[in-house]
Amino acid sequence: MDQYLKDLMKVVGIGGAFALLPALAALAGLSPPWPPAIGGVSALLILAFSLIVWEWVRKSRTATRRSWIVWALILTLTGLTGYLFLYSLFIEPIPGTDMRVIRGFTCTADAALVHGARCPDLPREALQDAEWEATALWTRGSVTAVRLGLAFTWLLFTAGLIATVGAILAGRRLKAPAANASE
Amino acid sequence: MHRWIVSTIALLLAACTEPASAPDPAADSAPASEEPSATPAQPGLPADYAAMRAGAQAWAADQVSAESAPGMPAEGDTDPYFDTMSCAEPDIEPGEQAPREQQLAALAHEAVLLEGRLAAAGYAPALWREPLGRWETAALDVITGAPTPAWGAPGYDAFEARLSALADTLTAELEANRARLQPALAPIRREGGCGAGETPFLVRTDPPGGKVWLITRFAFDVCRAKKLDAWSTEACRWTEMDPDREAYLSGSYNYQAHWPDGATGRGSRRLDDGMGNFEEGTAVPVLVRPG
Repeated sequence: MDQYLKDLMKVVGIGGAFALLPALAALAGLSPPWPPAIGGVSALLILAFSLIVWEWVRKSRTATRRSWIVWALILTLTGLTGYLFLYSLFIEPIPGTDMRVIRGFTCTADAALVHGARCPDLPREALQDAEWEATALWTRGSVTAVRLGLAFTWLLFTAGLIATVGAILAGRRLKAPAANASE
Repeated sequence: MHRWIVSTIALLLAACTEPASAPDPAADSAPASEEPSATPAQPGLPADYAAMRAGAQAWAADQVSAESAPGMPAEGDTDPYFDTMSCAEPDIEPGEQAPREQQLAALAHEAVLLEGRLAAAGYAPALWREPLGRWETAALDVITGAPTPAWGAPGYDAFEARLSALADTLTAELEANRARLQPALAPIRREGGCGAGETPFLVRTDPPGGKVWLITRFAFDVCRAKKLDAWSTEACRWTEMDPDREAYLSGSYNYQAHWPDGATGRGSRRLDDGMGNFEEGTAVPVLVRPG
């Protein structure tokens, strides 16, 4: 087997293994409720990042690789912290179901009229009274901003995670390259 | 230089975009001499039922063609299966028919639609024709063997339970045949559950004949905050409920009802207590009484 195939198998193996992460996270109910295809997007992002990291880092000096690892770790922790922060603030599970509602941060005119000073931090009962329809209580723009924030921090977390692990693995050789390796 | 990157991306993208377990005609191990999927009604069916069945063909064809993968769950589901329960609503006007005719029409639509969906999903007629025929005959016996109870009348629950048991038996037989004849295709189950997790409710008056309006508590409070008459069905966002059509509701509502004899009823209802706990495919009855 030439070096090309070895490289290919290694990349596919690593990428494939990490592509399972969003699926596992989805099972655990960790992934964001929006957009609907967030699992697929995460998987593709992970595959792309695994290849990018592999390409940039595999022949780097140890010092460079370690700086990649540190920055990727910071990215991971930043993404995870931001995601959990937003999740705690803006996600409301609907009791008795596995559905989650994403809140907003600016009340609609109607919600401000009804709830006044309680805006925008409305209780769960307000959502229940509005058929669990977040855009009845919060402006569509604010709900969309929160959705994007959740998706962005989630993708930041997954990208950072694969970059961290990829940078660590990229410095390790499967076997010493043969003298007549193709690359 | 980077040929391995390009080929890997192409390989993985192809793997990601391929459906998990789309029906594979090539994997069909059923006999090659299958009949076409559009089937005529069985001989010996009651004449009125046979007519209903024929009348349901066009409706069922529209429903099947509207589904990208008939009977399969939405794209992205990790556990594909064929659901024998469809969310399609037959074009029946129940209020104008006797209970027996309502049930016969519903059965005719369900039978024709299920045939079409199974065929469109790639299941061989040898897999579903006989079980479907047995189910249809047994369901006809249930509907015509005794006076059909009206919705909500005494005996209706038992009547519905018998039909539901027959549907479960049908599903089990279909799945057994699939495992034997077409194991590569998605399993067949009876799951149900339409809408986005909301519960189907049938809101009716008791005694019947009244009209019911619903409004969300939030919309009601908005009206009140605007100094409008919150009980005015014209000034506020009240919705008149059709007693024969399921409404997917979730949350807290105010209601008002009016009967022809002048009686009225008003109040509040929380209509998500049954979320996730209702029997799949069965609407939860909500009776509104005067007072």
